[in-house]
Amino acid sequence: MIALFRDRYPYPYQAKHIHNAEIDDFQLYLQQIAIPITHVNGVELELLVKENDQVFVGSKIAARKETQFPIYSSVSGIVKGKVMLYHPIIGRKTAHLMIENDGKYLQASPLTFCKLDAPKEALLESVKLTGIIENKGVGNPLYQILENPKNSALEHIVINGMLWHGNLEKFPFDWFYLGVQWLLKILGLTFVDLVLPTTDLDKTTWTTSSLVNVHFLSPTIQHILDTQVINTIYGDTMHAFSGQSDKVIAFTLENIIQLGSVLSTGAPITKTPIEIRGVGVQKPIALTVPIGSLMTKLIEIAGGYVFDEALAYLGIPLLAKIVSEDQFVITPLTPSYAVEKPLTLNADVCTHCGACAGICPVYLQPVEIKHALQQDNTQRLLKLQPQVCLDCGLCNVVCPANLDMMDAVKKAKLKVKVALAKAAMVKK
Amino acid sequence: MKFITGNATLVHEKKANTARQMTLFTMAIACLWLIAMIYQGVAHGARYALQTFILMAVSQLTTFLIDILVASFRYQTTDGHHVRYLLKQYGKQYSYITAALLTLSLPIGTPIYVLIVANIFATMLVKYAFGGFGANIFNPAIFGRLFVSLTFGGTLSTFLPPDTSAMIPTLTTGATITSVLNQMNWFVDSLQTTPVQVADLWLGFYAGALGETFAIVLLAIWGILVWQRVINWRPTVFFLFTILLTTMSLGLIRGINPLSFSLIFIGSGSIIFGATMFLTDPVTSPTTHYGKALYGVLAAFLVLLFRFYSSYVEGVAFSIAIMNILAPTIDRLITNIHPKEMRKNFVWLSSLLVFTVAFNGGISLYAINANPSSSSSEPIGYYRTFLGTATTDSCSVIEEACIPDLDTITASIHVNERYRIEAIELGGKVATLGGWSNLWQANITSLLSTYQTLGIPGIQTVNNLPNDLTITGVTNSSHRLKLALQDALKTLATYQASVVVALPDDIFTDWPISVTVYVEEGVVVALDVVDGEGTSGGGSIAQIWQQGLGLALATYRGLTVQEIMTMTIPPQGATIIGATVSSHGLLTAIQTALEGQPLA
Repeated sequence: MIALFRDRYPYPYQAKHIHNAEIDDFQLYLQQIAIPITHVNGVELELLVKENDQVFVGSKIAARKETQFPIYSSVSGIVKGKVMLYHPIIGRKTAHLMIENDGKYLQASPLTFCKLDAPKEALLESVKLTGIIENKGVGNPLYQILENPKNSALEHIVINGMLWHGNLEKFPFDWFYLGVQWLLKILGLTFVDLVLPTTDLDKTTWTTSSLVNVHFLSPTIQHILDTQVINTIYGDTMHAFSGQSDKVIAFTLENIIQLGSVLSTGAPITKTPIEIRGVGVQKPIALTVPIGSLMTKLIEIAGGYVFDEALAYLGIPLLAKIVSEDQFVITPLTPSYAVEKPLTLNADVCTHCGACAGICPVYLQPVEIKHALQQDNTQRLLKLQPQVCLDCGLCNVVCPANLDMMDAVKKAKLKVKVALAKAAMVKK
Repeated sequence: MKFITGNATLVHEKKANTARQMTLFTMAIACLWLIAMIYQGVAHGARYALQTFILMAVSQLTTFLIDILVASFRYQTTDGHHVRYLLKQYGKQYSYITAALLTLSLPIGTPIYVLIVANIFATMLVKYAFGGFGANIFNPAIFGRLFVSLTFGGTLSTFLPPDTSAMIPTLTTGATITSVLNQMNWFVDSLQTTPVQVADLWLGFYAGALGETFAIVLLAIWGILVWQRVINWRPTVFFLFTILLTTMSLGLIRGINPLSFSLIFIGSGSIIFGATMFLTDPVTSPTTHYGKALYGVLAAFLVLLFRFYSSYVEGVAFSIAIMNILAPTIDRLITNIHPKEMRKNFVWLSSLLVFTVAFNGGISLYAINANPSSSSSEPIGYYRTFLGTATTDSCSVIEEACIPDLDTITASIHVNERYRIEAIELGGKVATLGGWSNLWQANITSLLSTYQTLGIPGIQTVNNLPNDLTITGVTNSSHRLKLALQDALKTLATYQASVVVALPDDIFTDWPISVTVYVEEGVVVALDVVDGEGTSGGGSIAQIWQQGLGLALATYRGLTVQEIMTMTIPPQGATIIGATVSSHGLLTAIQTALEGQPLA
């Protein structure tokens, strides 16, 4: 019944529009490879190698200071030292470790992990060693569990495959299965919920295991948000009004596969899957690239840019990171890259159509918030609760008048926070 | 490539675009207008197709001039080139949609000056006075229509007659289907007595406003617009669903075919037109989807109120106008539609729906109980109904030569407890051939009332059909009607007698009692006293007699002929205290009647 009052819009980047790039990996390896040694929070990692040291593919080169979460080299060669390069996620120049590629790609000795029947602490140590924590998507939730291993409120694991792309089909199912087994063992649960889109791709392999409970969801734009996927499959009871619930944890499908691949081969993550899409590139592609590849090189493979002026961003169209240049290297944390034609905002008059209210994942009314903000009506704003906004930007996506609803909600959020703080001060 | 890093939308839904939506909506209205023009041209002649065209052209021209005028007032030198600014304003204000909808909501006979006034009111006062497109709080077209129907009401009832195949179409101020249905209080499950059929009603082939009649076309256009995300489906669906549910329930309560009743109720007038074109207006309806649903249900409730309980023929425009006024309040009340609140809101929505059904159903039930014979199609209201038919086979028994045709007449004779005829209803296929239909339709009501005055004895004794019971030109069917009526009464044996009661006292004059006794299979089923009542000497005794007569007659009812013939004194209930002699006289009259031969 609630679905009667929600709108559904298709996800604009369906997998069928994205090509699988069949390319030789080695053309992506540069003569000098730069690997970022700064965490996304801006803190530099502790270097484990010195200048002129010999490193191999899979050698540990740096780790986080407190937790010792490692990162690995993707080439073999000589360490040249630190350089400062643009980091798109942090948004400024940060430290990178420069390695002179000797072109031999010598492998370091494979990592050794404990067996699946080992105690939980040993399993956690092994997972820590895989380098998966510093990876995109999966990093944050697993990190929280590693930090608070006694967190037992967890009831469900969601593996979100809504951003399915053809690249994943190339990976063996065993890797995914192994990743799932490890996750279940660590988190003490019996099954995972795998969410896949109802597109025409072959998904039969993923639905055969008893440990995996598969849900097929329509590929709507809302469903690329983990919060919406959780809402859809468990109902709103599982999910707090906004933010993460401690009953559910969400991973992306490709990361579970990566975890499995490291655990089964012993080779740490030196490559990462990436997607280049949008109307601003000649030929949208999905491919797996070595860490340290340059984005400019990947754009060349995608056929180059279409427009003279465009908007480029990292990640899904919601909660994305807008970049100001493409001269950056691919890290395990680099999500997909999209180039779009910029849209002019404030183009038309609001017709009160309610599209923004019909799609908001936290059930806000952006149009009413905008009005209350224009009228400077704080009492009304407090009722409308803009502070729960996720900043996902779905309201902007669906607004027929091209209005910047998100901006209004952000301003309203600030205003409400100030008003609430004032009220708290008065109480004291 | 230059990277843009400012505030921007990363992706945008292609279908979500005001200009695109408005273009599609304009195309939809243009389709409707073309269909109206074609219908007028085919049904009434090219003159009326031209008339439809002229009405729209005048409307558009007026609105264009108003747009330019208002834009000229608002023009400031900083706005750039003057003419370009004016044209841009015309394109951005979408007043031409208002003008088109307003024109389509008016009948073809609307005078040009009324149309111009309507447009000036709608665009100038309802739209621009509140700030133009997106800022108007009322739907300009609806308010323009209401304004002229209140100020120039008389001029707006000129329609073309729906079925004019035989005559030259002329504008008449005759009744439309909605006013006919309104006079019948809407509770009809068949349109046989009107010139319009249910299929015509849904296809739009009847007199009404230019665009409102094409129900199926409107629904198809609505479907396309919803699919293209131009309009929201919720107000329309909840509106129509509420009306459907209520009419279905009312049909069941009233004992008429609920499906036909709903089809007639929803298909007639502007319910579909209002639901698809006006209720979906995003500017004047609530913002949230839940609010839109609530809006639809409330509008339906108001439409039902206006149609059933007000003297005004059309309630749709008024209810949408009232809902426009309520829309900001609905927005105000629904601050959030999180599932937690949603459950509560569902209770509100469904209770409102149930209330609408229960309210109308309750009033309907009350009306039936308070006044059982108020509804003409309600057989329970009569004491008894006789049913008879006459088919082609009956032709051979009548005196004159008759051409067998396909007619079958069914007649229902409704009588009261004294077997006086209350009403005669006809059914079946009555004189469907050619131009006889018109003759039959024109005369049948007076013919039936003649039969009603004849009464049961009169009908039973009609032999050769006299002139006053024949419709000239439809002789066969007239005969068949007589046969059907006699067929209905064939089980009934009627005895009549008249006795004079000699009253003992000199102050009373002797008075006659004429009694009619109806016997079925040896049992007296009804009695009627015709002449004697009220003439028993006058004064207080007459009153006593009249008060007691009903009970006295009821006492004889159900007795066998045998029992009555063996009586020497009237039975207990049949003796009216204070009028004993007359009571004895009544028994004598009945016995005398039963001794004689039955009529016919």
